[in-house]
Amino acid sequence: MARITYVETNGTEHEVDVANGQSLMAGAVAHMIPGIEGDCGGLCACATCHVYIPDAWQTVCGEPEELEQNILDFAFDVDSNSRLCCRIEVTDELDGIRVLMPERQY
Amino acid sequence: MSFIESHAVQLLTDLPEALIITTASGEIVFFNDSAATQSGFNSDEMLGQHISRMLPESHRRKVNVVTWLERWADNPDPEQLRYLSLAGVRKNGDERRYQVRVSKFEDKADVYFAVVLRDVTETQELTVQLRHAQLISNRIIAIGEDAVLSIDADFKVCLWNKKAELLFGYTENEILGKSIDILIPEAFRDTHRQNIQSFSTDKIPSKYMGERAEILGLHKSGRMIPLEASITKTHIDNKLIMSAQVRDISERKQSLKSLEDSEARFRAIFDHAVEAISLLDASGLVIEINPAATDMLPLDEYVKDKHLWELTWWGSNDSSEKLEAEEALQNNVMEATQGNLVRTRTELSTSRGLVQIDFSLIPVSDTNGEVIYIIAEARKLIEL
Repeated sequence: MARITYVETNGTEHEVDVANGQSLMAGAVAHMIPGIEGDCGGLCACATCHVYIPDAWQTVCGEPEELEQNILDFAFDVDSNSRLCCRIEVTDELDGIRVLMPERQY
Repeated sequence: MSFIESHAVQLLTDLPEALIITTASGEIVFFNDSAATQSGFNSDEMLGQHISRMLPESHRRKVNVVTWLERWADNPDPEQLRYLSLAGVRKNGDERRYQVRVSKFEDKADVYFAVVLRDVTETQELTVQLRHAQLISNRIIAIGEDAVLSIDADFKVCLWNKKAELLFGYTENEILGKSIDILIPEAFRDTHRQNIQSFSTDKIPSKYMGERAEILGLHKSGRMIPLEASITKTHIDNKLIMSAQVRDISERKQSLKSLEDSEARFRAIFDHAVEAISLLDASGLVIEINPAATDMLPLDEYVKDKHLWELTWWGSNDSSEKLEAEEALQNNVMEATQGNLVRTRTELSTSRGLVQIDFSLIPVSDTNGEVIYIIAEARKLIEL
């Protein structure tokens, strides 16, 4: 279980508990957090769960694989800290993370 | 040469799907009629142009169309393409969303991409709108003051909000897929099931709180909870879902009980007092009058919502004296309205004749010091 804070572009913060083993995307969808769509259900095929990971959490979250990097090309306003959060599995290590959402997913 | 081969170009030109064929570098070499209709560009304008004329790169998206064509031509997995769409532009500048499929073919050393474009702008916008509407509804349900839950045709719980968790003690993970029976005390389960069964087949889509009898729920801890519920049903794809908004009425029942007890105690004093007592509002209108007071009145006189001084008690049968007595009483009431205790001796014309009374007007104020009631109290002195 990890306490995750999803931050909308307007600054609204959603602090929720997500069970280990779930993806950050699934956690957001389960808690009905606006701004993370997860259209493809976690297949890494839609680029609608794009988030920005703060530098301090980059190591814990790991590097994106090639497929994720390819799909990220389709997301809006991609930056060096962009990730598709369906690819990040929640563990105790992520407790306290703040993920920032982009302005749009479509 | 087969029929297909001899008509291939015509078939591709007339294909109902928009078809564009490009070289490996993205130069358009074929542009069919549907592509023209969809994009607003005609074939002559587009032949020799780069595909990015229709699918331009965006400063907000890194995707390079030719890279994309190569990638998906190599991995033509329809599942992977299911939700992907590219931003496109019509000749008139309108932004469109295209779902794109691509296959690669080779002619000698040259590589070509066959690109099928489907305009999904409206569908995608509608989907996004629906998702947003759903998001709003879901968040309202999530924060609802009432517990919200749904069950399927097998009476298994399939929706459970936060308030339901607080009310019954089960988390969403614990309850989803479980029978609704566990939320009902064992003695009432059969009846509850029969009621749901009957609701599922009758013609009424919803029943509201108040139209239905109170029910008893069962908390995870075994505690019984008096509940009230509004229920509704939906048939989607012939699958029945029944939903309920459930309210814990323990506090309300307790408050009602306290009120009833308080009222009973008040009545015990008020209705059995020897003195004549009337409760007035701040303007002197009669709100309550006790039996000792009504006993003094002529039978059948309607007293509620009259000013105290309008009742037949006051003064003698002489009309000028009566008027004088009424005015005096009205003045006294106004005095009490100002917060002053008024105490007089007066004569009262009762059903048993004139009586001399000790008469008090006692103002009752709220916490702000404003007079909200006046208690009129008459104590008989001597019966004349």
